[in-house]
Amino acid sequence: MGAPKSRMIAGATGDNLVFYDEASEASWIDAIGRDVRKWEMRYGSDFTTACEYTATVIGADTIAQGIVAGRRALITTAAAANSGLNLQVVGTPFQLAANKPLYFGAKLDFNTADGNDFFVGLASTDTAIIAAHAIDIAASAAGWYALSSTALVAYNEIHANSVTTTASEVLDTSAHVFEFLYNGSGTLSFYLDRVLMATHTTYVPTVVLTPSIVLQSSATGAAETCAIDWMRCIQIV
Amino acid sequence: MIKSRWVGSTLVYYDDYDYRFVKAVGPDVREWEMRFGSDFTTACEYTVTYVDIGAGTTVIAQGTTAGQRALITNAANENDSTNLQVVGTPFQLAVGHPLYFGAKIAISDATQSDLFVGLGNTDTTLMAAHALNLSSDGIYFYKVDGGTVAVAGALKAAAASSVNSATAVTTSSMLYEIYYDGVGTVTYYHDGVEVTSMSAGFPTAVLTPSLFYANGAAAAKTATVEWMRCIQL
Repeated sequence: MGAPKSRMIAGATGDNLVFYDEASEASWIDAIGRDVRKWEMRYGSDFTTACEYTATVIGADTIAQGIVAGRRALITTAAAANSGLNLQVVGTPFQLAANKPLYFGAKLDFNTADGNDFFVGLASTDTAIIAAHAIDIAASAAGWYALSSTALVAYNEIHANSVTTTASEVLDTSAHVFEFLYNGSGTLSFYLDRVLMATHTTYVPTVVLTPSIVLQSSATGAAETCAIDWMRCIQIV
Repeated sequence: MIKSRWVGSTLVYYDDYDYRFVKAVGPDVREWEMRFGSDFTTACEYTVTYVDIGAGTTVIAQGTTAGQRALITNAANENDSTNLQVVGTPFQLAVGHPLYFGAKIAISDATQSDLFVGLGNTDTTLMAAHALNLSSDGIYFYKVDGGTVAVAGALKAAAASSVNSATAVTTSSMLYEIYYDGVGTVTYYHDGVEVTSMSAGFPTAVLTPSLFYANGAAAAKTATVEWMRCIQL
């Protein structure tokens, strides 16, 4: 990560000041504006009730605040095939719409590179975004996933119609930054470690969405972990 | 347009008008903003007091429409209401400490409803029987059932001052903003228009962000909070 820079981006109710990483103008860090919509996973988040997140657990899986410095959350799946956790922010505060640019990003690291199924991004309300080692979203989503493989896939979907691009980089056990930017005029650009990997212009979701992350154990049934260093969504309105 | 300026040793970002703080950066800034994903169901973050006169259940929840941070849905009886206050009383008007309070709120019935938004002392009945009922201290806007007049008011040790806004409350999203200059003047803005300034009669007691919405007739009504924030230097 480089130094933060800033620029003005026009919204429907005026210009907004957007801070971004100098490594990529698409890597938003913060935004200031009267009507900016911003969500970021908190340190000390409440994962134990349904107040802040809807956490759907398949087996004896857990999510807790990380005890390693910098971690906002640590997901640990049970040592059973397909066991896992589906986490969504309560409410559906975001919606891709014309002239309302949106950024989503998360910094994650996994204990194995090809031993899990995961999704991270925005999705409609859904307690089973992944099922049987496949994306199973009922309505709409945009984000990144991997399915028991090191192949990382940029993806968006509207009701079973989806677009996917496999990134040129593969997953390993280092921390990686998964991001996408909606430009407010129909284009989703997907970035991995702040490098552009794909641009999609079809099946861009139009319904309300919420920040979501899923981690499941693969068919081999080993326990998996995913540490969330940060996860945020920012929209200019 | 977002601009910034230094106020003492604090960097303040503001929007369009000098008074409309949207962010402040400094070691002692006091800043609260209603979160997306707020906890309205336990007493950890907010004190929520519902009144249900008859059948039905009043509730405040995260909005399911993009951009909504909270959606109050009152049950269908007259005087069913929601009274919301941030836990703790983190703000206090004091010389040398400018303060901004603002909220963008839409209500489903502009006439047959009671609305209170602003800062108040800890109180579970900010309004009652279609009248202001705050017990001792606050700076706020309110409207009462049967009209669309927004009143800019202050209460200091139970003594009230008020001025009617020339801008009527509608069912559209409207801005309710209050600015204390840290010297001796509190100014009220309704939908970006100055309503009044008060140089006396405003409180010095501790206050907390507060919201109240009640039905003025026997029908379910809603209030939507797009944002609500308070920033003090």
